[in-house]
Amino acid sequence: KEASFTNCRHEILNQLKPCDNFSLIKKRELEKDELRPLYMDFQATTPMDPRVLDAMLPYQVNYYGNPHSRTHAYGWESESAMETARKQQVADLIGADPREIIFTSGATESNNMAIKGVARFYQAKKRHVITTQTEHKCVLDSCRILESEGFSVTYLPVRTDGLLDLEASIRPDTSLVSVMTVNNEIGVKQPIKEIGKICRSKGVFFHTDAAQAIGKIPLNVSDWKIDLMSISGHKIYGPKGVGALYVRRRPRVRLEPLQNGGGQERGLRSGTVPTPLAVGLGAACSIAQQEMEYDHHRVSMLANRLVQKIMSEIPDVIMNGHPEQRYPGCVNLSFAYVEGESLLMALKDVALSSGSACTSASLEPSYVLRAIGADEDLAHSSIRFGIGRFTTEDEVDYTAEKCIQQVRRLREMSPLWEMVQEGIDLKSIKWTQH
Amino acid sequence: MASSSRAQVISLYRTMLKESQKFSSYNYRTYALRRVRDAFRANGKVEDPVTVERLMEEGRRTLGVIQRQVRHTTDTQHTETRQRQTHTLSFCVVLGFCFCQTNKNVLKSLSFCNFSGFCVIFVSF
Repeated sequence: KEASFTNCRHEILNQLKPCDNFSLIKKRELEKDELRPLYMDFQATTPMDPRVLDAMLPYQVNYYGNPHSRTHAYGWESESAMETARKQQVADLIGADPREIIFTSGATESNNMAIKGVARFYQAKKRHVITTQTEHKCVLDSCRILESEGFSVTYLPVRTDGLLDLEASIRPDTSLVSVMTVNNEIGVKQPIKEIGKICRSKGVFFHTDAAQAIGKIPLNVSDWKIDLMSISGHKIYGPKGVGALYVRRRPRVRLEPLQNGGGQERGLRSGTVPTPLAVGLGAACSIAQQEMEYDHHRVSMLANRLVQKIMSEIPDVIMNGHPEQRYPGCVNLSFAYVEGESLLMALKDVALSSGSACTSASLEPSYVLRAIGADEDLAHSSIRFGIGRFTTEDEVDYTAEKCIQQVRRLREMSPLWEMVQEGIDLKSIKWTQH
Repeated sequence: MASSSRAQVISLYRTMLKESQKFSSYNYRTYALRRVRDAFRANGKVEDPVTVERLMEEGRRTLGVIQRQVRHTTDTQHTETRQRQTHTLSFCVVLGFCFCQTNKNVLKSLSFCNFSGFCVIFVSF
């Protein structure tokens, strides 16, 4: 079984003494396929589907023309591939017109373009932007830049289950509302349809970051009245380094371009469109459309299996976020009386994360968990399990067992746990300084 | 155009499973095996010959993808040992088959198989 290989790795690593060669040995072991950890971090990134790679390879090797070259066959064939990706694949997945899709370098660029572009275009009359506290860092940072330019930004708080109230904050000078569809840390699905209706009725543009949602839940930009949407390639089993932005044409949304140049992509995003990446994104979208039901069914089944297994064996485990309005593949659990970093280190042979990849370098607990009102200590002890298309039942079972084992071991060592077992209420303790 | 027979469908299924087994990545291998099995099961009740033909075409195309991707995603460190193993095995099988077919005497063919098997193992080392 694959899991036994990772146990071997433990033994090998434990026997080695720390020395200069240690990092070299560890790196070599990580390169061998057998000794790599199980991948359970599908929200950070996803492996490329073999069908996507198969679609991309000819455009990396043989059909390498610039799609904007109008004078020869190399250009024509690249352009035709790019347009197929745009029309039959990306646009089809979200119910849009192909002229409304713009290829970018990823969801971060799409978010920047949408927020800064729309706000700056309409800045003469409208100087207010609304977003939420649980957005991705790129959205929050773009809003911070807008604030420094003189805009006023409202960061809406979210309820403990992650859903929010919007209507009261919309002002006559609001130009944009930005709410992400599925949160990358807690998996909560926002009521996009209702928000879209409110925004349309008040004449405010609605942007949603659908990087985690696209290809996993059915989306339609017309039904949900979305004006701008960000798409990321590497979250739907596509290549890294490509994304797209959906910009509505009827009623027209105007943007100030971030990147100026030769006028490609309707003048909104100049620069050569990377044909192999665009083809990869298109292939990933069309595969996601075909496989959506199968994948959703399977991911829900595996997530339930994981959560049931863990929660039935150990007490004091809390799932962060709404239990029903969520994408099942993103499970964020807080283990009380256990420190998150130590649990992650203990689960060395499973690739997990606590909080999103872009905030994992800092020592602060995740701002998303703080926004949903989780206790400081629970926020520190949260782990995010990501389940995707390629996860197997064996991997889920192994992760659950390892997790239960390590949580029990860490709790044995914890004086807080001892005190709780004796019936002491931790909140009533007066901690003294030495 | 004649629609595919049951035997052809089963043959495609077996070929796809055999090729999927060759993926060196655990996740790709298990996904391919599972997906092929579930797809054939889900479409097992289809009667309309046009749909059957379309699904078979899709299957053949996917088989091509699997074959190409198995080659592209093979870890180069492991290729040498695997190639030797498969060559030895396939050689044995082919020789054994040839001898069984040409010789009517079963006992005689068995001894030939053993002999050729030993020869081949000797040769590959």
